[in-house]
Amino acid sequence: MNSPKFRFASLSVVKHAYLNVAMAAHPRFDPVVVADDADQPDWVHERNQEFADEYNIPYVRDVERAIADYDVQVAVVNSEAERHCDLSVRAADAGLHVVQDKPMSNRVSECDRVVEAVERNNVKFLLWNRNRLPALIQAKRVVESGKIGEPYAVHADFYFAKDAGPRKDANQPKKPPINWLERQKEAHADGSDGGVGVDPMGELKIEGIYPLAYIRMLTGANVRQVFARTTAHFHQACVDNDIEDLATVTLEMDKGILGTLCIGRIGAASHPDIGEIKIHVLGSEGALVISEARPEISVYYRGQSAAEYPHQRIADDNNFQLPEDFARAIDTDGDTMLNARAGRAICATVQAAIDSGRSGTAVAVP
Amino acid sequence: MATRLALIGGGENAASYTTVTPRLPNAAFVAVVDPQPDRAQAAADSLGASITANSLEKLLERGADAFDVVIIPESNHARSSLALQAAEAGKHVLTASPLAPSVEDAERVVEACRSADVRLMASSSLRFMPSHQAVKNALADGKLGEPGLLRMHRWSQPSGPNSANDIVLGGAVAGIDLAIWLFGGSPTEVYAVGRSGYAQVHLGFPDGGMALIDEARTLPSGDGYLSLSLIGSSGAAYADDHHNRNLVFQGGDPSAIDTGQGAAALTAQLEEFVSAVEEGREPAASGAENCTAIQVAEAAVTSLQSQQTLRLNGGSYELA
Repeated sequence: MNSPKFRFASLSVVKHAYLNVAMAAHPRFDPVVVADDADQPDWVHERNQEFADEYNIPYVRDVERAIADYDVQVAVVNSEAERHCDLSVRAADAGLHVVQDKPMSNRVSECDRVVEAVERNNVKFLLWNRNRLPALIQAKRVVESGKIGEPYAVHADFYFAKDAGPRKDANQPKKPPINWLERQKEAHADGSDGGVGVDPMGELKIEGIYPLAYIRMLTGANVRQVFARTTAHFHQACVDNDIEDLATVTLEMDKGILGTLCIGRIGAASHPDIGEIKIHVLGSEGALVISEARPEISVYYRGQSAAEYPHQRIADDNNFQLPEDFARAIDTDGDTMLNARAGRAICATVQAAIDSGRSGTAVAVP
Repeated sequence: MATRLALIGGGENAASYTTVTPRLPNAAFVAVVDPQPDRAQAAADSLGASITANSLEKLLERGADAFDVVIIPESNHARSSLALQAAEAGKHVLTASPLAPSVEDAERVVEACRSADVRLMASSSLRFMPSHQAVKNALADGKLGEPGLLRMHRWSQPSGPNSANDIVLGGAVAGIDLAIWLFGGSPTEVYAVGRSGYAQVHLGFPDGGMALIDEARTLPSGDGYLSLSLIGSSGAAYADDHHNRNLVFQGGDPSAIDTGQGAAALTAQLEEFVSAVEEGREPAASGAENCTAIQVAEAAVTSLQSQQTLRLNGGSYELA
């Protein structure tokens, strides 16, 4: 018997559309409509329309009507971060299962709304992540095998070797501050607009979900307390908007597990490919060092463009595995690999780290 | 005349120095101290030294004029008292890091060497490793811009006292020293956590700089692991064993083996100290710098115990 297909509505597609594309490519999910609120600005409507045109599906400027009219079972939320949770709550209240892009939210209180709505409506929620990259699957397998004993410390490095507008330069004459949203809209062209929204977001909010989800998967532990250092080290947009592009976080977790996170948008010159992304796990019987980039191949040739990464990741089917996991959760009434409560816990850890960076003291994770 | 070296506690350390000795054109071992006479003699033979003694005191009695420098390796846990004794006898001192178990003791040694007008180097070989020298040079040449984030993992097997405090006040001092060296000054914030066999130290530097150093002594037998990366405002350097390992296939999961950096670090360390002695100048990795690292390590221990941040206020670290 063929497994049933799920029809999904894309609720806002303003960022690079990797999440919607991945869902549409999976055989269990069909895109049927793009929807957003009518009062959104023109640029939002334009991007929504572009995606709808690309998939030859309608764009409806009314979320509730689209959900009602198109017989959808799933919502895929890919709006600006500050609207993520509201769209997810509305979808859950309409009885839809929800796949949501990261970050879960700018505010922990918004995450709490999602947790409540998802559980009250008994629908599935998946926060998009990278936990099914081949190296992460391998790391999980090694940890679960018991070969390194009980993990007691986990360290994640998550550097994106990308630029983000003009470099920070304290010696330049003072210019008008860079508008965050306008900068993110520009970044759409090269797909580095993960921080799109009105509210400025530092690297912890934009990308922190990924390494923190790795650590959570490998330890099964919640973070209880953090101490963090944060700074705007590279980019003028981060200086102007008082957010960090470089951070280190000490993590104190359940079961006495310790850890750290190094994260930064370190500039294109600082790595030969997308960035250094590694996980170090210390266990009672051994240790594990994993490069998230593996497997990769290297291609070098005369006349190679500086914009082309000479090291290319291969065999990455994370974008297939996540929808696969989501479908399984719906089929079996099981849990997703990163549900609303886990997403909320990560959002709270990020917020505590930002607070710690500002106060210079350790902060308990609420 | 070549600078004349005396190895204190030479028995178990002679092998590494034997490798290095032929590479030092301006220095030679002339004496070895070891409490076991046969070990002292074997070490002296391998180093080409002619004098042996079972203590520094005896060596000074028998031939104080025969040597210029004492070398006190890491395995010798009486480093500060030996360094004091040597300084009072007018001998230059090259000692492993940490120089002393407390900053007070370390400062006493620094002052003794200053009073005696002798040179004092207190360092692990970490600073002198070719990989770390290359990172430092890239930073000094402006290739990396302003240092922003230093990450260092240093893992080995259990040895000696293994509480988090022991690790911070022992081996972690070398990592802290490395961070201070690369950032060019003392950290302004210190936070640390740990457990038996493990410690991680989180440092904040002026202008937003930061360092994370973790030191584990829980690995099973075999190779250790050392990894360092430095992210600067215009570039980054990765001195990373993960990429510099070779593979062994012997059934089951393959193993990775460390290719190591040979005797280059120890050679560079000795060369620098001998040059400083000859030139009458302060050596790199001076005793005073080691005092700073020990002071930070003591702040880290206070953080471990109090679970609070310490901030630099004036010349000392205080609970935030």
